[in-house]
Amino acid sequence: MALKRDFYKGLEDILGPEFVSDDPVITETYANPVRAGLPTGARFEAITLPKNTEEVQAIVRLCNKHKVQYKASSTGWLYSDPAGPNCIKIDLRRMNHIIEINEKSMYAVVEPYVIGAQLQAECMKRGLNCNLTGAGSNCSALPLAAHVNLGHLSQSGSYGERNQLALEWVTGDGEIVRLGSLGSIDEWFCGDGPGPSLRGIIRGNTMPLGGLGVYTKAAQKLYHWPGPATFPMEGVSPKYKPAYIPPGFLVRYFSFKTLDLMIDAVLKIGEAEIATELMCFNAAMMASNLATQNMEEEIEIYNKFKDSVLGPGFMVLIAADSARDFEYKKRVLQLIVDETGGKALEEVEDPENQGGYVWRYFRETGSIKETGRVLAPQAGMVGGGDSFPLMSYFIKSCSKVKAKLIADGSLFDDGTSPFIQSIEHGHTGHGEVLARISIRVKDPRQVQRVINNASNEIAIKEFFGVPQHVWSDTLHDMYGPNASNYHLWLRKIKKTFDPNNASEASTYITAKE
Amino acid sequence: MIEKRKLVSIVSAGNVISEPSALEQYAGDMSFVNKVKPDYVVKPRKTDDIAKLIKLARETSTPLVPVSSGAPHFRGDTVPGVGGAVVVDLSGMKYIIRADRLNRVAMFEPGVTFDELIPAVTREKLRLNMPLLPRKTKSVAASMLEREPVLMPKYHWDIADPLNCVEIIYGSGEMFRTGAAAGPGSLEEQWAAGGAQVEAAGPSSASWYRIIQGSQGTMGIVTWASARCELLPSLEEPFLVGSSQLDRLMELVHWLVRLRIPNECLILNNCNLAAIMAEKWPQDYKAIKESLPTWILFYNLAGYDYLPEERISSQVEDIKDIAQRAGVEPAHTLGGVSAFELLKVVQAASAEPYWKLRAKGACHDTFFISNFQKVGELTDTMSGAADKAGYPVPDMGIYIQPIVQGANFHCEFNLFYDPENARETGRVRALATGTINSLMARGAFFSRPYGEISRTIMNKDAATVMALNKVKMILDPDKIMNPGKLCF
Repeated sequence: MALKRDFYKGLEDILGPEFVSDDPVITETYANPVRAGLPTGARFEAITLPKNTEEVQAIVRLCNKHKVQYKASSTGWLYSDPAGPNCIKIDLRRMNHIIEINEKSMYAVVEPYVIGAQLQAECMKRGLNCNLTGAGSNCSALPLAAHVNLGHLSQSGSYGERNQLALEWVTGDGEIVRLGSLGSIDEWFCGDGPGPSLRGIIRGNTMPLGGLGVYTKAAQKLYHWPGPATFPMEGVSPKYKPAYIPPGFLVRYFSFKTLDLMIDAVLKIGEAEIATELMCFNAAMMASNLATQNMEEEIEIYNKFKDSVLGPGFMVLIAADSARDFEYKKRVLQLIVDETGGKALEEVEDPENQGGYVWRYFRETGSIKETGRVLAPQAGMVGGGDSFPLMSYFIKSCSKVKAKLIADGSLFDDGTSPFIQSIEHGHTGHGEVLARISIRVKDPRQVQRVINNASNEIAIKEFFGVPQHVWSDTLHDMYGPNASNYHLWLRKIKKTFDPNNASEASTYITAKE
Repeated sequence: MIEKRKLVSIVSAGNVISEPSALEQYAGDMSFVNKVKPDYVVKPRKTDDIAKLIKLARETSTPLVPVSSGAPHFRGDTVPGVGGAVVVDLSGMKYIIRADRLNRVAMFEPGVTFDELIPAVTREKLRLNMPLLPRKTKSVAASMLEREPVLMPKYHWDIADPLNCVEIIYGSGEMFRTGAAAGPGSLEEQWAAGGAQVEAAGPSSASWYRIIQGSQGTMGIVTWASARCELLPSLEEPFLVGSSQLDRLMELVHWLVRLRIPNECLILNNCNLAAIMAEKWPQDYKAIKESLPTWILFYNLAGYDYLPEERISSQVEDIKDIAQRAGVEPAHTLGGVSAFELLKVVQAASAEPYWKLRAKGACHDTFFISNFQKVGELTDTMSGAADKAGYPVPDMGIYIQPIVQGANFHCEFNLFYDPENARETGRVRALATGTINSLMARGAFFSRPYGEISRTIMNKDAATVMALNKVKMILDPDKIMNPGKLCF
């Protein structure tokens, strides 16, 4: 369905002709979001490239007036970018400025197309660090851009829902709302109030994924960084050799005989507040992170690792603030590991490997390899969030499905130890099932459907909460009646702040009756 | 007009108050808001009572004013904003539902006070992240719902902390549980699975607890809340640092909080510290105040289960270096105050009489949030305004609390006055309302506006007011919940 010319002319008037296009050569390039598979379906009707909030607002208002839908995204990833008929794309790539890094108040303000690596590099020069989304440092640094915004630093640096400070929001129908101190006094340090906090409607533990207007600027908390301003690097891609281990830094991997012993160790480390990062990676994820190029290398490392581990395990990274602090934290770590029967994976302690792990874990350059791996379609399930033990049991339960799919040849056998992560020193947790579909499988989507169906049934019947893969009307309508009818309230937000349904919401929730 | 017999049918006769003298207690508070007497006060006993009360209020268009803490109240939010209201007094709902050591969380009804909850969590080797010396009658749930600042900034990851989940009956009459508590499953089923109602956000793409917080009872009535708890330390070592220069202490605070070293960490001026520590008035107060420098930083180091002595000694040494750079020196005593004594005091509710009332019998608090760079100038601005208004600046209490792990600073000015002295009262009232614009112009964000000043503050941001009213129409479409407050 072609756009009406007066609408297209309106876009040109807002942006200038060079920043809007309906050329199929251009729209086709937006029809294939990362890893969504080929071929994809519909294209966007046009692509727009606004440079500031005012232009975004003008596009949104024009769409509302002409009953055209829009989908905004910044760096974009995976499922959240469905094109469709009568829908245009708002590509925020020209909004790529770091607006402020406030060193003393430890916050940064960014536009949507500032990527994590860019913000982090600027922060590290100032002795600060930012939480990066687990999707990788090539993704937007806007805490509102990521699906959840959990990452490797979440043990000590939390995640997007809780790092968010003030922000600017163009609502679905084109109003500009500046939350918190930004609206009252034009400052970025607080996102809540006056009175009730509108942060409550613009995201939860997941994001509306572009279904509730456009977030154009946002401030987030920063954290102390005791490491170097930059990491020295040798080698060329993909064989970088980041062998530098900053003073006071340490990476270890420990595995345990049982999941309960691992949970015990994770909670004790959290309570002792000694870890900067703690991710319950399994052997396959540790191997993927270390491998530099091809499946054979990765499998070789994995085979070595899997024979060395006792069972479930975790990567723990200490980044101490002083020599005294480092000694204390090392001693406590050893005490806890001794108490819980943890076994170290020696390859991780090799200085060259360890330096690489430090770099990749802080810079989040290995996320895709850890989670999606290479050379095969990824499958899996994104769990929810509550206590660390609850999330551990949830993923353990879901791993039974993975074991069956491994047994019937649908998935590569990369083990069934769960991936879980500890957040805010063990106060909360999150977990995911990650799997790699066999290249011999003819319909990878069917394998994913099996995992989805099983995990949804487990989440509801065994009371594991609402997972973070719950998007779309179908899933909300499945979970909502089991969870305080939240879907009805979510739908009211959508209807209230986007009455014309202009903000494309198939990955959020639609305003259907 | 609501009928008494209908209220009686819900909560029983003994829990409906209609005697004028008793209603008078709810008609006003220690703030400057106008007195409005409610028609009734009801005391629900359980969630079902509250649901029925809200249903009745919707049918009869009766305003409901929820109150969780006992008197005295200070901010005007529990005084009816309009006539014909029914006050829903939740202070009798005192059940402590759960204290969970493993997951560091407690769950309790809205009437539970700090003095009641502290022993319950202490038994589980847990502790609360406390506000500064809450009054004896203060509800823990109300404190969290009001986003009151807390003393341990390293554990204050988000401004919403330490609130986790709540159960609420919205003004629409529907019950809702926020965060992980939403479901699937009952609380008991969630506990059995390993859940603990510690995830506040969600479910899914909204964080309803944030809309309920700061709403002053205008969205619904909370029937229980869960609070994030921290471990009870096995060893503690508190310190005091004095200076005549606020910026030196602020520099030290920045690094202490940035490196997440101390637990409790706050700055008081000599007036407030003396008011907190004095036992005999006025002689103790004067002696302590005179013994202190203008500004005092208090911080507390803590060790837990593993190598607590080693942890604290390492921190002491690290802080020495930082303090030296800031040009100050930590000590265990300062003037007439022992850091260990102060630690005991701030880890409990205020002794009676409430510390803010000891000096002159009444106190008005002007408070806001700002960032590191603006605290000094805002303190000067408030002092200048007090001086201009004829309020004796040396008698003004000041409390500066780093929050949100140092991203924000709560600044509080305690204006003590004699409520029997009309001139003094008028001066404080004028000062409280007259300084808002100049403080905002210099970077003060009044995130929690109460009483007379709330309209002035809300009116600075029309887009937010419009958005909040849309949310209000979703959750309380008949506008029965505490009308007249904030922008509602």
